[in-house]
Amino acid sequence: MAAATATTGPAITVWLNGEPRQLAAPCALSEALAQWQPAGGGFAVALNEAFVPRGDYAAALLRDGDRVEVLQPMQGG
Amino acid sequence: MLQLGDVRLESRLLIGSAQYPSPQLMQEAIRASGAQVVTVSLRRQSPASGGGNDFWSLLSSLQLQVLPNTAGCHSVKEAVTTAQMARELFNTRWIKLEVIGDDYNLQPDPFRLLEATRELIAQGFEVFPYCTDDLVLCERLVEAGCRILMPWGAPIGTGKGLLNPYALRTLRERLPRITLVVDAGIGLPSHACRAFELGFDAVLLNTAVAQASDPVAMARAMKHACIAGRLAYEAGAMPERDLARPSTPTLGTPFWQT
Repeated sequence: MAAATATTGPAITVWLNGEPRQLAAPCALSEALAQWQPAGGGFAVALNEAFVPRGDYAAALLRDGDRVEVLQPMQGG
Repeated sequence: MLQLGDVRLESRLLIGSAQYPSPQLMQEAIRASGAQVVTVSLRRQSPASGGGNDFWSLLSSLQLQVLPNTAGCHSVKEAVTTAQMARELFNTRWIKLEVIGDDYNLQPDPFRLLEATRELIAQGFEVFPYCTDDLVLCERLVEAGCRILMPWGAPIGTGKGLLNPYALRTLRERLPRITLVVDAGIGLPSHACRAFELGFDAVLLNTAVAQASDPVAMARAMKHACIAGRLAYEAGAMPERDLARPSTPTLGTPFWQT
């Protein structure tokens, strides 16, 4: 996939793990993740309830109202 | 040896990683159980937990097969997305598929479970479905491509043991080539032992060990119960009788006169 080009535009609000986050403009998921700095050591991402493979972060464009889930390993039964 | 998908394992005990009093006790208890498969989940990243790094590095040091779950999912879409995320995060095609249908007893939704199973098998997953003990559901899951089934013994976390041994025995008889795992409801070593005596191939438990007063000792007890139950199954039990029969020979009984 080609990298999404960050566009200029109005500030947007996206939902990161259920919490609102402001972004200066619509941007690629990879840019938003770089800004949010998820802890290293492993995470996986879904955008609007759909899995986004790691290799597609740069091509996924975030828009106003998008819901991003960043999940980590956790204890489980 | 336990055949679990494409993997052969010495231990027939699968163990969860949740609810231990401390991460260190989790590590010690899992090691004491002898389990070679450990279940994990995915949750929202929290900076307070160090992004899950501490937990994950501790668990990774045990060098076990990881079985991620889809705990908490209620819809097919949630379960499928969680499974896809787990595959990338844990680098495994194994998934313990949970699709909950009722929040009161955390009973699996058989209809959505079957739908999600079909979808995930089409995507190349080895699906370990957490299911009820309903024979027809289990047959449908096998038709969908499951090689492993994980019916509940009792609702998750109740420790009630095997509530319906008849249904579990029926599954064993009707599905002789499927790997059967009792998942959920085990509270005591005797429950685990009973599952093996019924012919089950493995058990998956968590709370029984994690919430014991001494998790490490209980893990050890579970390990031995699983070994004993499996040995008993392989040995072949005597037939049960209604009437007593003396085990000591009656021939030569002293003090007896005609």
